Amino acid sequence: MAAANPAVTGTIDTLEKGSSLGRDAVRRLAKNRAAVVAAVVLTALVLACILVPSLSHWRYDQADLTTGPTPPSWAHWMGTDYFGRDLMARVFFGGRISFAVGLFATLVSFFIGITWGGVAGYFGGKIDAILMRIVDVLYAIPFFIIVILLMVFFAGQEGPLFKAFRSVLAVFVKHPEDPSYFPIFQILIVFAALGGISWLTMARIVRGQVIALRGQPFVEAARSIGAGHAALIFRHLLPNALGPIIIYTTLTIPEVMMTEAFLSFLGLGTQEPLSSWGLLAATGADSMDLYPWTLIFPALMLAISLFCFNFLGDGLRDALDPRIRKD
Amino acid sequence: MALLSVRGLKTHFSTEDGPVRAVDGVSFHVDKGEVLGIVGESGSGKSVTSLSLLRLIPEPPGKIVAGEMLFESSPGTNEDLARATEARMQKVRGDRIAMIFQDPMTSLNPYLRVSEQLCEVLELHRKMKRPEARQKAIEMLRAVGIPAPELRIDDHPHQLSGGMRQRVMIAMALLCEPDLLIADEPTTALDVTVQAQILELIQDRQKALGLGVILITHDLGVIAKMADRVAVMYAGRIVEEGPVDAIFDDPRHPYTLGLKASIPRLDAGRGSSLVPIPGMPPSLARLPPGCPFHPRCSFAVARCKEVYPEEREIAGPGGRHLVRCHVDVASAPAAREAS
Amino acid sequence: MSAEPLLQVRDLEVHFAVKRGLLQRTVGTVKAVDGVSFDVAKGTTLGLVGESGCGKSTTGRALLRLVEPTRGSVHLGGVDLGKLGTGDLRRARRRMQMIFQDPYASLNPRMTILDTVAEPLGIHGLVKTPRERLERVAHLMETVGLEPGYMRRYPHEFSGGQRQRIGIARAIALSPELVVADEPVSALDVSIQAQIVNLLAQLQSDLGLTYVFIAHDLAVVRHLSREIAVMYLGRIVERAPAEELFLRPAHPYTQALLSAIPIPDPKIERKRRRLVLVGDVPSPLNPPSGCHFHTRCPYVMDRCKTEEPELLVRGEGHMAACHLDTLPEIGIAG
Repeated sequence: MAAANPAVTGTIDTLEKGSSLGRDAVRRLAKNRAAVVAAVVLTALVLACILVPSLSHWRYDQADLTTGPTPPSWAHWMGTDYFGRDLMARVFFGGRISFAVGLFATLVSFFIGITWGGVAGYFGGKIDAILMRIVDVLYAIPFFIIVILLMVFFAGQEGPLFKAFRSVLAVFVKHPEDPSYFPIFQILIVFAALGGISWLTMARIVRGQVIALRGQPFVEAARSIGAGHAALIFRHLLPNALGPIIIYTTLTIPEVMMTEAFLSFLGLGTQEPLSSWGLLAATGADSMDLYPWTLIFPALMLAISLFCFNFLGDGLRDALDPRIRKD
Repeated sequence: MALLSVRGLKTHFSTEDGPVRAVDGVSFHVDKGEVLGIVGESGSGKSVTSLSLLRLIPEPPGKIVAGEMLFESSPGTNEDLARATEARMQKVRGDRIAMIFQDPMTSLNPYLRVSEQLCEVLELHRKMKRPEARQKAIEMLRAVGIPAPELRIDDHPHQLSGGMRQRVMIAMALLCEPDLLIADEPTTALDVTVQAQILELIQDRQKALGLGVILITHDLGVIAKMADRVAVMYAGRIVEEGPVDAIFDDPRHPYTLGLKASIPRLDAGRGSSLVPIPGMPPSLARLPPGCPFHPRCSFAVARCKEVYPEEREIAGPGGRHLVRCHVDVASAPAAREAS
Repeated sequence: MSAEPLLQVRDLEVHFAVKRGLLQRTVGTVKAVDGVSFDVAKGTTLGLVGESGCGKSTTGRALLRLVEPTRGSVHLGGVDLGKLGTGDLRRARRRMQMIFQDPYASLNPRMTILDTVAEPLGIHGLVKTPRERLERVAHLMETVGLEPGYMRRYPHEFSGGQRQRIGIARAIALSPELVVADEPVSALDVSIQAQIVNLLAQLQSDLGLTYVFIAHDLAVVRHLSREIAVMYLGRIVERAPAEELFLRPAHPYTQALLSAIPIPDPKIERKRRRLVLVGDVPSPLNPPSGCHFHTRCPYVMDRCKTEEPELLVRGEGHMAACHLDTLPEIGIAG
């Protein structure tokens, strides 16, 4: 190569940044009023869930049997539940649980799905055939039944899974037999179970994306310059597959939250004291003719969150639409 | 009276980047039995022009904002297609004016058999019953050179090759014996040996039926073979127009000159060079002031940056030869060699 | 030409199995490339032409082992590429690069120009510092006629012609000896094609590159090629020095190709004698027996239906596969 050309070297000291596809997408998303409102509301909700239970002078588990259930008042903005506990503190604490379930279960499905679908799509052939036939079979299984069976028979306090959990716990804590660890175990089971259901569609989506991209000339070009598997997957395939993956992930979160709420109605979701919105709503539903606010508030919070996630997901789908490919 | 006379056509689109003046004041005419070739590259506005003629521009974001398109739909009567109602346009399309497109795979419905698509045209415009329509369709398929048409007619588009599909499209276009055929890049997607067959077919049918044809392409070779008159488009306007011999022997617009000098020719000797046109076609959302070609023009003078050139007539044999340029390239020195 | 040719291809075959059904049984074979041989001398261009389905693109990919040949050999500078293991093959890729057809799809839309052009340099460890990386890429961009200041932009911010220049910059980044150009100008506007063809010619003379130029447009190929090979349904039907091919084509298919390409001169077009073929290009899944071209050949004889013709010498460096010894002449320009 020739010696450095000073005119050229001068230019490279002050390079202007281009406008990446990501930035274009964010700009387009910002123009979508519904999506922006949804994002703001969600952020406000999440903040409330983090701050309110800590800042409120009512604790979420502070019972007052003398007061009992009371409708909303200045003292208790959302009223109190059957045991006299401040409903607002409980609702926002429950939000922490619901969002946590949504987030972590989705993360489980995200990682399993990307790996499974990515490997199937990238290697193709027999590997693809085997992996995707497994997905097809799993799809056919009615998952609720499996989850219910799992929760009833294996996830109880006497069950084998909890025993295993306790032995792992023994490495980290002094008193693994303390019963207060059980709700934590329970919630982990819920993460795993819900994540275990939703990875299937993620795998299919990722596989589809990878297969579509694999044939693209720029991937072939990368092979022709000598890029290995890792570079192809992480530099070329995954970044370009991100669009639909992000969209689907955003839409999985509300789905998972809803499933958890449903399980709570059956008593198979999270347990006291880590009560999610679903559990709160279930409890409230029992006495909804007498104390409707105990149902209305948690249900309302859940509904608003689901709405917002869906609007955001839709907005993302529009913003990430690849019509930018040709000028 | 011309079969089709277009005056001052302007079709604009509203986009995220502002208004795009895809067609910005285009005037031309086509007579019965003649082939007008419209040549231009991407962004020249040639396809938008043809879609405008049949009012096929999607209404948001596009719109015909000005101009008239006078079509002689029956002997002695002219109608302005720009002002016709949609109902009237539906009667005109496929019957009096037919169009064939570049990619027959996407312009033929992949779910319908050839027979259904052809018969639909006849049932709609001629009120024919199915058996009669089917017979006529088979005859037309034969006329466009499809072997064993009585068998092929029941195929689906994907069962036919690219060349055959294009023939089906031509058959569909000619079923009602239109007066005007608009062919928008009809052979660009085809192999070159098949292209030759299709062009011969279009020429043959055109002579047999006395059609007027508007042939839109970017390929100067196709123009030389097929056209009687040529209009050269750049950035939404016609920059030069004239009889085909005049355009090739005595081009007067720097863009036309540049195109001729830059395309590789089959009969060029070894060592002949390609002289490219420098720069790139402009973005239609951000047209430069004055003549849109001036940034790439080796003949440009100061005036070109300010004023859009008016039409000027060039003396010569054959029909009218018009050019929009401030400079007389025949006598002006060029900043750069252009053959 | 006493020196060894840079590229030697012998009896190259690429066959694809067609699989159907749940168990993926092989029901047929597509012989995309069916016995192709040629040499390319260093610093020259071989034009490889043909229509869709002829196998030219697959041949180009097989040369670089982007697609694995089923049989035959490719020698680059004496080295048998087919015998190289993964590591050696990666190193060998430094000597052979490809320019792709579609300027819109051959660049990763999420990578800046800098990243795209620098990627080969990084993979092969040719730049040590970020500064060096910037300088090398700036130099490459200048070489292909791009403004180096734009290197942090993304592909969608450039036009088709500019994107193709970026692809070319990437291809020459490793200073290869051989460049396979797969229809590099087909997707570009006519007024831009000449710019890119001239750029390729310039680079060839400045950098001593050897090209295999794949195209369907004989007129474009003529400008760069010393030698041209015409392919039909996986086989080379004629091979000759460029001028010789145009003046004295020895295969009916070549004649038909030359006859079919329109010349931008109406007077010539009116006078030309045509050789218009009948029928369409057959499917590579089911090629005709004997000479693949016999179903469309205007001079077909009985022999052609059963016997595949050999590539025989017709003149200096001129080979054609046809049972007819001499063809009736139809000049290109009538």
